[in-house]
Amino acid sequence: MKSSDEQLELVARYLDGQATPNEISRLEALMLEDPQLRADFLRYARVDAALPGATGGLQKLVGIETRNDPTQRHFAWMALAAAAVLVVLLGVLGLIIMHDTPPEELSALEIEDKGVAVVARAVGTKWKGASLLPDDSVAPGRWDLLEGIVELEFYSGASVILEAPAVLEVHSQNAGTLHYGKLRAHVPVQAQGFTIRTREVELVDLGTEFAMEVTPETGTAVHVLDGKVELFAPGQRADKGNELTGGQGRLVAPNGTHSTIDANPERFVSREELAQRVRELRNFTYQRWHFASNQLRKDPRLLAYYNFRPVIGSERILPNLSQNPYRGLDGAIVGAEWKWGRWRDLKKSLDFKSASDRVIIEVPGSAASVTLAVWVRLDQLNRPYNMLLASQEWNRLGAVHWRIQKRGVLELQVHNGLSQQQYTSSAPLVMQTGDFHRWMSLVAVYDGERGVVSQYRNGALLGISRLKKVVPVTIDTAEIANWTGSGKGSRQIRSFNGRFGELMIFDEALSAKEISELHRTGDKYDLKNSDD
Amino acid sequence: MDAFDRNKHDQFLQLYVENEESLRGFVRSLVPTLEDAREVMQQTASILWRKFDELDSQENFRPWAFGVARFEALSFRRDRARDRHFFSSELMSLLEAEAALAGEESSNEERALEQCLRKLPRGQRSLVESAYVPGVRIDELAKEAGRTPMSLYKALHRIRMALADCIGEWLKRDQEEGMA
Repeated sequence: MKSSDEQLELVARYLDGQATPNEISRLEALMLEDPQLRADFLRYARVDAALPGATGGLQKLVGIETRNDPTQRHFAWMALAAAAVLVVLLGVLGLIIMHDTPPEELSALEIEDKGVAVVARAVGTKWKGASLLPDDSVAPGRWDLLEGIVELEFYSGASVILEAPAVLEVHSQNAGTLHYGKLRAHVPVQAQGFTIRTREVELVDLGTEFAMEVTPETGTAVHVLDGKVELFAPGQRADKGNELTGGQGRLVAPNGTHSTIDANPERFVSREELAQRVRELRNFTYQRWHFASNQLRKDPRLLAYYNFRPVIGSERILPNLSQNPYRGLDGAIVGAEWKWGRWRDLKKSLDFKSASDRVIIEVPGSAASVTLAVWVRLDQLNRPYNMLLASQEWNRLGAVHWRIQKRGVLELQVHNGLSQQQYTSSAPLVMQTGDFHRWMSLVAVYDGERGVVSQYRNGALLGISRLKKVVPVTIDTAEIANWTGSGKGSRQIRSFNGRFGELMIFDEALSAKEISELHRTGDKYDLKNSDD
Repeated sequence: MDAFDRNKHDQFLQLYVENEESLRGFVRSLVPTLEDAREVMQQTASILWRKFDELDSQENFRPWAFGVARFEALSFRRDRARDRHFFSSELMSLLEAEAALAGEESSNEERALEQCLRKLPRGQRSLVESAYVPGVRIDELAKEAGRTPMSLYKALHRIRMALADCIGEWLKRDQEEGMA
């Protein structure tokens, strides 16, 4: 640094957020004149910016959110930061942190449910802005459905089938406004009083089933399919309403004039039709996956491939489907049971519930790079560490642990002889309420050539971190969904709670594009073909 | 989907990692605190990833990334910190151009920084470790340590200066050894 002490102190004050407006103006004036000061300033800023990564052992990772909700974005980051504070404080106090023992549990996943409804079923949906999948909770707000059909179950018990294009504003567990499009509502006794507003009317349900269609040109059409509703002019609930019963209908024009129409159930998708569409979608996406899975088996990069379908007569074996003939790759199932999978009864999955459940495999050889990919359904994160795949013998170079931390972090560890912080690659994994019990794909790429680990969820990048030291990966004897080490302090329970539907181990680093394709061919919600 | 497209996505990781360090330093120079820098950096990374498809050629990644970072820093200051004082856009453009050029030397700085950190006396090292934990407040840290915030800022300044000098030395030696 060649600039004067006084100038450099000014730089420090600026970067520490301590400089007064006058000082900042002075620094600016000096820098505009002095290229040396600018160079020193940038150098100083680089040191300052690199220090969090270089000191705390916190990975420099790119946190990229996969969901649209901006309030959730900093979530995992906060958890990471809080954990780091704790670790440093413990260190300052001189406490010994036991190897591989997590800091006090941070409840990053106890997210409050702001919803007033839940997505029960969806077919071919596309949303504008924030999107919803089955099991997602629906917060009050405006939901803009561009394509497809969705069924929302309000917490009051009322259910609404919405057909695209439609805009529904959800107000509470018993009320909403239909700005545009078609809906069909089922209202049980418990939810009587369920209210839908439009620009022209306010409809209060007095029991069972009605439908509505709103366009800017024709206004609001109300079809009472069964039971009784009461219609009011908007905001005029105090007045006497207009009662309609099953079979009756009203068209309320934008100018407020009423005309009588016949209720027409054919115009609106019924629950039975929706159920049929859901079955068709399931068949379609299952067939697509089945075809892709058969193709995938021929991939020479696959060290091991499990698609989790039992062989009749050998139900306690998890057969390996890759081209590698090594017998140890066939997994021995311990405890876990076969249950319905991603496509319900069409494909099985293995359910890991008890703390002892696991599958033992033996993966021969070493590889400079590996890609681990799974389809899992996480039911609960009830352990500090929830294992996806773990080498049984841990204290050796190249051993692998891939796990989910309860506080919302996906971690790939490849033992490289350094400290835990230096062999752990982390990426934020935010689980919202609807994400539990839902199938998701997770991928970890250990790229030995570039010295980089990247992790993905549902085909989208979660984070990248740089490896401090690269060693070849040797998985050897490993456990799927569990790990019981033999060393001191390793008796802690690390079992995974949920289902496995697929596991792939490649001996190469897959590209981001391949990973996103792998996700799409296995995604039961995505109607589109991977070629378009 | 053609091979070009496939490579494009794959290359993002490589390009990002190559440029991350200098980009982070540049972002740091544009906003007043490390927390701000972290936020702008995260936003920048997210946008680079999302818009990577629109980039016509790999050679343009670096200038593009610096441009995005500057833009994000600008909108950060517009949205989040109306009342605070920032550099003029004239100075920001100068810094952007120079930070983008300084890339070659800054790519090895991280390795050097790790070496230099090891050489710090134990007390300095633990101070720097506590002070750079995300979210930590210097005034609170000072209180715990029974010092004034000012003395802590001064101590940190001395440590960063020492680290910057050490990095400079290390890089010079590294370069000489490389040539020998």
